[in-house]
Amino acid sequence: MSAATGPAKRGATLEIRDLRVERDGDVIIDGLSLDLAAGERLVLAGPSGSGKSTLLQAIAGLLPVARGVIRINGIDVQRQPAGQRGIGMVFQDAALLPHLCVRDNLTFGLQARGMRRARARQQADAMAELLGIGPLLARAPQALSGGEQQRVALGRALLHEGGLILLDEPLSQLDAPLRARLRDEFLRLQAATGVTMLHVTHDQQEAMALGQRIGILDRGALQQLAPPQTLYREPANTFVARFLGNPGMNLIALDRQQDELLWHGAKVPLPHPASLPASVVLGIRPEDLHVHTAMSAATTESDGWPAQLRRREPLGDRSLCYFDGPAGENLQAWLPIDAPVADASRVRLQPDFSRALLFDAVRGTRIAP
Amino acid sequence: MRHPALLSLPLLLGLIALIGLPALGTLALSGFIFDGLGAPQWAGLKHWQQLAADPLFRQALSNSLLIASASVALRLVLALAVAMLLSTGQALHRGALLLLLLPLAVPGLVWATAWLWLLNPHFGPVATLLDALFFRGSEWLLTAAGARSSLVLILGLLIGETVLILLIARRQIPGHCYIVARVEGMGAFGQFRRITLPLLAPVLLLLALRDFALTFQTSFLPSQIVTKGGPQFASYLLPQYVYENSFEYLRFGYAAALSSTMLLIVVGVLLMQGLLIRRAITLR
Repeated sequence: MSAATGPAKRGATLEIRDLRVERDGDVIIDGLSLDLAAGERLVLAGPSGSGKSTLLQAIAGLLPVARGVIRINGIDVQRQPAGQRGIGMVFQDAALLPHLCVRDNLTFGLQARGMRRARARQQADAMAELLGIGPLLARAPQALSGGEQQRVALGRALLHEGGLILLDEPLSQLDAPLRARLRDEFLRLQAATGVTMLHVTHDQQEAMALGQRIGILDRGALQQLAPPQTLYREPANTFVARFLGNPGMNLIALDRQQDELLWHGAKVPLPHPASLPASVVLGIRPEDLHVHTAMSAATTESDGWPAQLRRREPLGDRSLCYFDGPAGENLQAWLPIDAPVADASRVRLQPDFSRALLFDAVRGTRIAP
Repeated sequence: MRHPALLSLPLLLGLIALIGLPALGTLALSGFIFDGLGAPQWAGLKHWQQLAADPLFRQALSNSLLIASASVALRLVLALAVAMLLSTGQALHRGALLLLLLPLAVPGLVWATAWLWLLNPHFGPVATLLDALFFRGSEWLLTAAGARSSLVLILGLLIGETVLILLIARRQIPGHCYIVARVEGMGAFGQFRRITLPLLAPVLLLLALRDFALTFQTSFLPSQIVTKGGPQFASYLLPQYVYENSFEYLRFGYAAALSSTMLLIVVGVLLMQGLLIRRAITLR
């Protein structure tokens, strides 16, 4: 269990054990276990269809659970209907009630849970103050911008007494600058309130920015759960290696000769375990693949792997370059924007082997380092 | 097109020719004594004076207002309940909806005649049931309240179209509203009261006013066939009075004054409708 950081004023703990969730007979999540400490920010990232939203709905009580245990603050909540588990939720579209003004949207839940109107209004006004939406309280949701609506939705979730909020892709419908602003806002509010935050997203930038730990989810199973830098540097398997990073890690199939690993005949100088699996994949991040553009007669094998530049995507100060290896392998690396290299020119790619990883090609798991 | 409004000209001309001119003609006719055969004779405001002092007009007007309001209220409440049941959305419900719409496919005369049998105080099933439940229960159908209630029932039970409209309106409410309500701890009744009802309110209002105008103006078939306006004019309706004045007593002038009054009331209701709907829309 990782330590919770930050002041946990009222954060709840969440424990999930061996969870299985089915939807219309399909198994969406199977055997998932997860622990959140009080006040922790955990982000689950994964492609669409990986079961992220389904997991949140199961935790909130919106979907039945086929097997497993969900505990909040140590208490099994599965008998409790949604709304009585003390969970606030933020959705992709703000999901404000269209016939109520902002203030009534904020007090709606408090009153539904039995709070008196005057007290609910007090709390809503205080929350609006914290969120910086005080002047909007009397407005209709339709009169708000997307970012303002999502702030109100966050306020509604934070007004839950339970200290656990679930965020289901809350920023995915906003434009990039607004996403960045709201990420700041989320961090500030989470620190100010100390709530435990379980956030799902398909956006790895969002995951990296918001998660103290990140879980990578694929086809209903947790692939890896670790702090962002660990995930980036030491992905547990090829799925995580590909999913994280923009672009993802280069994965290169290697040849094996006894105990030697070869790439088109060149020896790969990489320490590896004594017993290698049948086939091995080398993983290297684009930024760890150095491009030698000056091809002189003096260029030798030790200067890296031969490749041909297929395409360049200029991205401001540098370009993302797509190369073809000798057997048509797809390799990606960065070049300065003004690098003197023509399309289709031949280059050599020099991997920084101290940064390279080895994976079992069949099972996908990392075997070295 | 420089004046897009001109595109609505054919409709406007049709409305003027088919509704505006006849209405003006009716208003003009109220100033004459006319039996449909001889030449009309100028009568000035005689018919309007007669109308102001006519106890049967007042009786018919209050009957019409009462029965139209009560039957529309009954229809909306029943239709809302049925629409809520059907909106849970199972395959079976398509059949149920078809059954509800069936009375609309039947001519009003048949609908009313069926009720004539159902409500017959001597041998109708309703009378038999009332007799079984209460001592001399069927006699209640012969009272003023019984006759009025029968009309309210006959008109109020025509719920098929209203159910259909409410079902569609209910489907327009975004599903996330209900998910949010569940997450926020709102129970089923709370969801109905705090979400469904307010979001259906504009449609309910529209239906209430439209149905009131329609029922008030045109629904005299049941009273003509089932209760014959009786007992003692207790279920006698304004359109029935207009019909009898014109086609039975051939007092077209007086009938025109009655019709014009009815039209004014309906126009008043429609103006109110416009006002309320505009307010409901700006509120949202």
